[in-house]
Amino acid sequence: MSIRNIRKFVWWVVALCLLLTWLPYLGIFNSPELIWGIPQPLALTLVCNAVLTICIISLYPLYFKPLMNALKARPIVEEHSHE
Amino acid sequence: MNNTITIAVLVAFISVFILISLFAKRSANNTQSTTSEDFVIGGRGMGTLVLVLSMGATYFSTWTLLGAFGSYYREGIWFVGFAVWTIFHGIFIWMFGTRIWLAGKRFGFITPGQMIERYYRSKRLKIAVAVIGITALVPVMLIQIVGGAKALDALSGGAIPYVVGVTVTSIMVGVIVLWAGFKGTAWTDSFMGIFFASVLIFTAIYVVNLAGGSQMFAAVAEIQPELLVNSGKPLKMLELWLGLGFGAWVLPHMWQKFYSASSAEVLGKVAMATPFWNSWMMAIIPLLVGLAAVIPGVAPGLDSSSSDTILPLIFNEHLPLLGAFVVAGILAAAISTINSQLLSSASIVAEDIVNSFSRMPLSSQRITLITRVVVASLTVLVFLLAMLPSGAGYLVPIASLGFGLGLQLVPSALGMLHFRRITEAGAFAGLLSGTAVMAILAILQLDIIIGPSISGFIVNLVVMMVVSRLSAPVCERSLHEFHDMFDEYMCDNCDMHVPSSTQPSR
Repeated sequence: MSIRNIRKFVWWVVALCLLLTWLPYLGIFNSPELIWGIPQPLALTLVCNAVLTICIISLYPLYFKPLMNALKARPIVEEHSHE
Repeated sequence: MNNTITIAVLVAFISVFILISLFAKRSANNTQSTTSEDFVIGGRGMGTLVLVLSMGATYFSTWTLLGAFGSYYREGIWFVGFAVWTIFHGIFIWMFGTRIWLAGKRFGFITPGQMIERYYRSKRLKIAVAVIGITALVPVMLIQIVGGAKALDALSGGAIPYVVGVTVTSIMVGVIVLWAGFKGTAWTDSFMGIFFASVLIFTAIYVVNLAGGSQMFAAVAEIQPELLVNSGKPLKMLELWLGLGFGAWVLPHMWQKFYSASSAEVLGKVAMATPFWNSWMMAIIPLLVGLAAVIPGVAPGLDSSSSDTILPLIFNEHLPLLGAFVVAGILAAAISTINSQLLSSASIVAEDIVNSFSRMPLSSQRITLITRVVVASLTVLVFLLAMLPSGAGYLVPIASLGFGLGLQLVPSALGMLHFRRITEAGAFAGLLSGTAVMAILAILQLDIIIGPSISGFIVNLVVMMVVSRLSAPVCERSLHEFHDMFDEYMCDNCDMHVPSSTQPSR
């Protein structure tokens, strides 16, 4: 899979997780039943949070590394007026 | 709580503060630079650890150590949206922070207003952004000082009276900022961040164990099962989400943190650390403690009206000797938020307002001097207002809208960072109308389905889009300087290969 496709995939996952975290506010996945000792809406949010954490970590290789490479290849020409 | 221990811990705590500020001052002197860039954003030299801790300590205020626990205690699982919007801060660092950093590095910006003026070629928009930025920050500083001093008074049983709390907080904030500028602020923030994070982690382990460990939620389910389901109210959560999540990155003191990063690598590492610091620690720990407090014996005597004092109640009951650390943690949380807001407000006054109205552009040294004078003046002003309950009373309603005001700045910022079609007239008209709608709804306390912040934001967006369609676009030069640069470095970089002979930019 190319880096562009991985980037798209990550954004889709982020959007999906964001959507899922809102479901309990709309009464979906909102039962007091405990899943592994954690109430259902909280369990859903924590799972989404874990996935979102991985997505945010993946921003480093997917976006920040290429940015760092671009900055090395073409250093920014600074036009400061605060010297 | 043992007052002798409390005062001893506070004295030790203040001594460490002074020591760190002294080191920061010496470090700044060693660089022998007096530019406003050094004083206001640390010479764009902040590393990963200091920036992670400083951003976290600045964002999380006394509210995290007091109010967040109470919100979970009263609202239960409903408030877990807090953990989601704080995790998105990592994404916002990429989406917005990195672009702000790139533009700041290229053009030497130290305030948000300078970036606005360069992109939109508009002094009126720069001044409007500056005024709204200060209006959002100053009242929030005031309630931090007032809230922190009241908490200290209550927690110490009067051993640290309100007047002493206000005085100590004001002096410490003023001294740190005046003495050592951004570097002192960032270094002391880091110390305070580590300090109150340690208090939180220790509290979480202790309280969860006290509440039955893995059986904690089962115990809560037997007592108050309604806390374990989401009570709905999606619009109320949306308002918090937009104001405290989406609007937070655009507030001037957070914006300037992006300028201060030494490299893109630092920003990337800060983004990676953000979910662990902001969400898993600062948002999830209050959830565990807030819900555990429902279980009898964990926080005796607690009810909804006193729910903002869960942490002190728990320590008073179970670990009275360590209660002093909670008091010091509250002081740390207040100071670490106020010092960044103070420096940011002062730099905006000096750079975006005084310099804008000056006949000749002021030198960097002159701006630094003005910034220092404004820091001292604002410290005295906030101190005096905190001493006059009536003065503080007028500003509290404005302070509650602080993040909502930040949200009104978002459309103008999005024009510079993402959307080429947003024009100067559109951004200006949207900003004024959104702020006006928000202010009117707040002053009249009109009870509509959506709150003042979202109402103002919607009006802001609609006016901005309509006016942008009817007005002249931003000049080609600005589009090239900003958007083409962002595209070049951030979008069209998948196949970038670094020539072996090329040196890093800095």
